[in-house]
Amino acid sequence: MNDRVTKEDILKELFNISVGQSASLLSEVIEKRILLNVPEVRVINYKENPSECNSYIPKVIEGALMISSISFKEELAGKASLVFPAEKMRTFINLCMHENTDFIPYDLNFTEVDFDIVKEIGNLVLNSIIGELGNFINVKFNYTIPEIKVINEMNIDKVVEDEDYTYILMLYITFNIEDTEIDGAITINLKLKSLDELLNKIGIIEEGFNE
Amino acid sequence: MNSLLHNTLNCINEGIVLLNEKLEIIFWNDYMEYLTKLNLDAVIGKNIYDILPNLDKRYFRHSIDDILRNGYSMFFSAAIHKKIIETDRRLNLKIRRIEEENSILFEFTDVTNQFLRIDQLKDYVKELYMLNEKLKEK
Repeated sequence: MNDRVTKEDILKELFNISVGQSASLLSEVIEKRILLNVPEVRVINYKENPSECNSYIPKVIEGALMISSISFKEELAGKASLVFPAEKMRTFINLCMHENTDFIPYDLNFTEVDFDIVKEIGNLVLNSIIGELGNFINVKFNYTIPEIKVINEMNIDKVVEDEDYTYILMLYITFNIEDTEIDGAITINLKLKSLDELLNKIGIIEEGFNE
Repeated sequence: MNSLLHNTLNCINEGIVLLNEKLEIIFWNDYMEYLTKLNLDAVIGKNIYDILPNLDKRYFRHSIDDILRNGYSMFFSAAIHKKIIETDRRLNLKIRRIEEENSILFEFTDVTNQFLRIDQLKDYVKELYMLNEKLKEK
């Protein structure tokens, strides 16, 4: 068994701290107990082989998807997106609204109000994650309000959009809200310089653990 | 604030509030007066939590602190936060920092008509669904 602590392990711990804080605030807002967990993190080189990146997309991300994205700039520039299966987001939105819609047929026609709920949740979770990342490497950002879109299938090109981004941090994330589990992913697109700064700092911690 | 900017902010159909870093109100536009029935003179220099007490919750305090310290832009939906302002209107709220002035901008957007339209559509879908179920039984 390999006991070495990897960069991904360190990032996972870092992200679990920030999603834990988001979960506590989210629970307060929607008055239901929410647990958030990041079970796995991967660093993917998008420039080297974009098509291969699709193989890292979690199997749970199938069918129509809802994506909530924020952009950040200043010393470190990038874009972070929260990606969930649209079908699961319908359940999540109904739970947030305290709505019982048993009699309404399954439906993926999201309204502006549905989008606003996802926008608020994406805003909270993504700000926490990027904020924690910024604190870790001691960088402040300028953030945008999230944009929401629904796409038919997960394709890494639709998440990256801007070819200037070299690396993608892929976080697998699980929302647990009143025993309903929703699996999704968070992608963070970064330029080479930004990721270098992050990985250098993590490399120092990694060496400390493995000495 | 120069008068052109002041007049422009008073012309728009969104509630605009500017706070200084102590969270005291330094601007309150006409639409905010319409929403809250409180005029500018009554709120200027007052703390935002005293004027909008429904914002005085751990969640909002934490968020506003993050906006000031870390420059987050925050969005609060009318669907989740039903009564930030005591009014019948449904309001989305965006809060962001204006870095150069070290102040905070609140933007309240009235989305009441969206809610009405969606409620009408939901009633219609429910009606069709029930009718369809009845037809299936026959």
